Amino acid sequence: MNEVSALGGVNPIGGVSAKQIRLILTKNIEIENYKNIDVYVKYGGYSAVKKALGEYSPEKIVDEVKKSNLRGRGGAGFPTGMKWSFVPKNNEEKFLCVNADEGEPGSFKDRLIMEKNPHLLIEGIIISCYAIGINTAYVYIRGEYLESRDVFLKAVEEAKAKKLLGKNILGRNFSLDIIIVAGAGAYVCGEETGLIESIEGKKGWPRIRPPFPAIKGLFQKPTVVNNVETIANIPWIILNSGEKFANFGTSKNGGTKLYTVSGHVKNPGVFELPIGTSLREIIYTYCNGIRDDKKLKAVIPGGLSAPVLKADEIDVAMDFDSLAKIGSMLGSGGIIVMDENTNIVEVMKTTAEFYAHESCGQCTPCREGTEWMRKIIDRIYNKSTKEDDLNLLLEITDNIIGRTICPLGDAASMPIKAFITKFRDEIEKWLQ
Amino acid sequence: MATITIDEKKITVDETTTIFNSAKQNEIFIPHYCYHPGLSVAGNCRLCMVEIKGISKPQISCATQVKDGMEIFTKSEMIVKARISVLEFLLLNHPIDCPICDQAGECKLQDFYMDYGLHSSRFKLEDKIKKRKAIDIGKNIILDTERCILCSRCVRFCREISKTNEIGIFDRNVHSEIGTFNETKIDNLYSGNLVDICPVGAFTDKNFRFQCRVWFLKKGNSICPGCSRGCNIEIHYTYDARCTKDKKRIYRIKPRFNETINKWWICDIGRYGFDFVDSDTRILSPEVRVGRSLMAKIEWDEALIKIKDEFKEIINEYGKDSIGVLLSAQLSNEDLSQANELFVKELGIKNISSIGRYDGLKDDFLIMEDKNPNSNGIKNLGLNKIPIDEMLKMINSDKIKCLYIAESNFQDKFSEKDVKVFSNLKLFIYQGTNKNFISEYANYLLPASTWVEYSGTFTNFEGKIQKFDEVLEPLAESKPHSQIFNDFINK
Repeated sequence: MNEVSALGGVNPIGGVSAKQIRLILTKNIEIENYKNIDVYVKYGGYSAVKKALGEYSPEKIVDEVKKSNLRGRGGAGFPTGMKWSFVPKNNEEKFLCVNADEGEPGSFKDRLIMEKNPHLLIEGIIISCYAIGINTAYVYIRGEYLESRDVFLKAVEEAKAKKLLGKNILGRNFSLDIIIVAGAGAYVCGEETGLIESIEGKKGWPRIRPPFPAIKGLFQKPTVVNNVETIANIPWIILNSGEKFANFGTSKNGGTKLYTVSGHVKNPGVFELPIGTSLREIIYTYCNGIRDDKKLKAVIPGGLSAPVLKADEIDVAMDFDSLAKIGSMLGSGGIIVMDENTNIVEVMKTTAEFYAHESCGQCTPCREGTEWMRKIIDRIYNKSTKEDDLNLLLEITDNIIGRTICPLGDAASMPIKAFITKFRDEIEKWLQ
Repeated sequence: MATITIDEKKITVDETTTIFNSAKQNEIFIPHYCYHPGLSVAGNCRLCMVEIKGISKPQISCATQVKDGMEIFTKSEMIVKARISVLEFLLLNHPIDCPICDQAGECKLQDFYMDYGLHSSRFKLEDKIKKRKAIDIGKNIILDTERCILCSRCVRFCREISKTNEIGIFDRNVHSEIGTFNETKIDNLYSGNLVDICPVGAFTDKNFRFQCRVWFLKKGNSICPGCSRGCNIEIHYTYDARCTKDKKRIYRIKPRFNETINKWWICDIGRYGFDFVDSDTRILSPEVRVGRSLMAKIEWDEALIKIKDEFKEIINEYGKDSIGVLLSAQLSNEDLSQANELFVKELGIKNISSIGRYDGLKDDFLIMEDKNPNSNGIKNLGLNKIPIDEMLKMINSDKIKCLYIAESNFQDKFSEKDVKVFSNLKLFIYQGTNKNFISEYANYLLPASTWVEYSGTFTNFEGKIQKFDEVLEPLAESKPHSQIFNDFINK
């Protein structure tokens, strides 16, 4: 299964840290100026588009994606082929929204693709839109990602110049425009309907569902919202088959995953590995272990909203189903490693502050609950309260989870619940 | 159709119905804030959650469609606890303004807390977030953002009903606040409805603010006399000495739901147009002119006899055609019917015109150009026998010697210049509710009751006959127009 051993990750700021073999998403990204379309094409770029438009019907592509077991890389892990098939099969105008908001703390993989491999994403967008019957794709890039926006915009212009975007692509009866929209600093605009509302020019308030975006999405038209990494996998699937993609992973989880590792490791970065690689292997083999050889205390496996794992829980396959089984989640694969000197109470404080700040304020439990939790945890951090507050916090999380319009309420509550449940001794000791 | 059970009661509903409406249709009440039948569904308060068998998380009933076979519980342990949690969340930062808040007594936070909450507070007072209060946000309303529970009914109202889009929710998370764009004022003609739909005291009426506690108010059903639409309304009044200030009996007017005419809404003109009922200008008793600017009170019987006698004299000397009668389209069908009996059938008078208010303001929602509630009443009895302009000409050319005006409130067909000529009349009887620049010229003033002081019917612009009740006792010696006409016939 392990056709790849990628030693060392890609440091998105400093560049590559060790020699390695790149596979699907990070292939060729060390080549100088790979973001230039001429370089990209020289190394085989856009051949997937040619194959897809030349040899595949739209239905066959959807089928191939279903076979690949590709699951959404934004966090929810919803089977991509299935999501595409929810869209009505008629001539109604439809939209693709590529979610490049990357708001999840701990995740910095999408910017890698946009900055170093933008044409892969464009290729994926073209094939996906061809498969679903979409002529306009919006790419929503978080406002803070200035470089991503600049690089990607340039790449889109290059693709347009080469007639890979626009009318009648490759001489076929298929036209596509890519429109880039910049966010303005709201985590909730990474939620699919928050993103849609933002593109429409409104406050990023998520919508109640039903109706789902596949039926009534952007401008009330059928819409597919997919993460950057998800779409970036599509060209490889076309060139190599869905079945081969599925073989990389574990059952029902196909392909490779970009794991972003930050925190107390010697070698942080972005690592492309087969999905289902063990967390221990990621931390100790690819990241070379804990910095200063300290002991591991805790790991957040999938971005800040994923329930924390203790040091004895890291022998787990990093795929959607295995992590769900032990009460956590793969999410966006944003791994945050914490050593023995980490103050868990401080981690809780930062977490609570983040979600209280980002709650959009639309629905009662999240709006009031996140701020209440923030205040209580603040008091715990300042040691100006008693342990009763821990039980109160647990009750608050139970009153939020599952009772909100969008998953932000869950995202705010589940980590707090996990910290209290797994590190209660440490927190109570702190309060003494 | 779908057959479902709610709280073990089996019911059948259309399969497109929501759980909330299925419950409502079967008299099962589900507490809620953001849902309003006249507005789109928002689903943000989360109070209307119900438990559905087979689904572990509670679902909001306002946005969940029924499915055949669904089993729904509105009172299960999970829902009882869930409601307490929502109320707890809403009350965290809600100011304890009850002692000074107009909404007390009809506040949905108070009501639902008493019915579904009754929990103790676990929130520390020093954590409480403070927001802007008592903001003058429009000509009729005041906004208190601290009391607001962000149900967004007001936002949806301005977007969907008044279509004026003044209100938005600004900022984010717990600091979200209702406000207007660029500090503009809420200037539309339906702003008073915002106070109705606000479940708490975030929007209060300037007109009603601090005037009277709602539990002192009684309610009566009426029809708005502001235009020919005939919106259904409620008159809220009291005689309680603890409230009544400056003889005021009516404290506010609220809409009454009517499926076809006005749904849940009324315009501000009708809503705030009741000051004349208890104003100082009300005519309180019959009066007769004794000097250039001096009127003297007389008894009804004396007035009726004197007027009848003077009438006979004028008819004898100048003929029936020297009498002019102006009947307001604000009078009820019963008033006009009696006027017909008296002036047309008994006295055979031909010069009868109708008068009323015609300020021309109209819109494509509720406000009609015809500002009179009973123009159709006039039409159906054929009481506009000659156009008003012709009547005025005849008065000017001295063909009319005697004028009888019967109206309610004030009409604006005449200008001050027009009525100067009334001083030349041999006899001018003004039967109305309030003194005004026209009644200044009258020889006799007869006090008429306002429409809230008697029962009757108006026929609206579509021909619908609608009843209004006697809500208040006739003020002082005033009588309904129909009664006065009837007395003339019988005396």
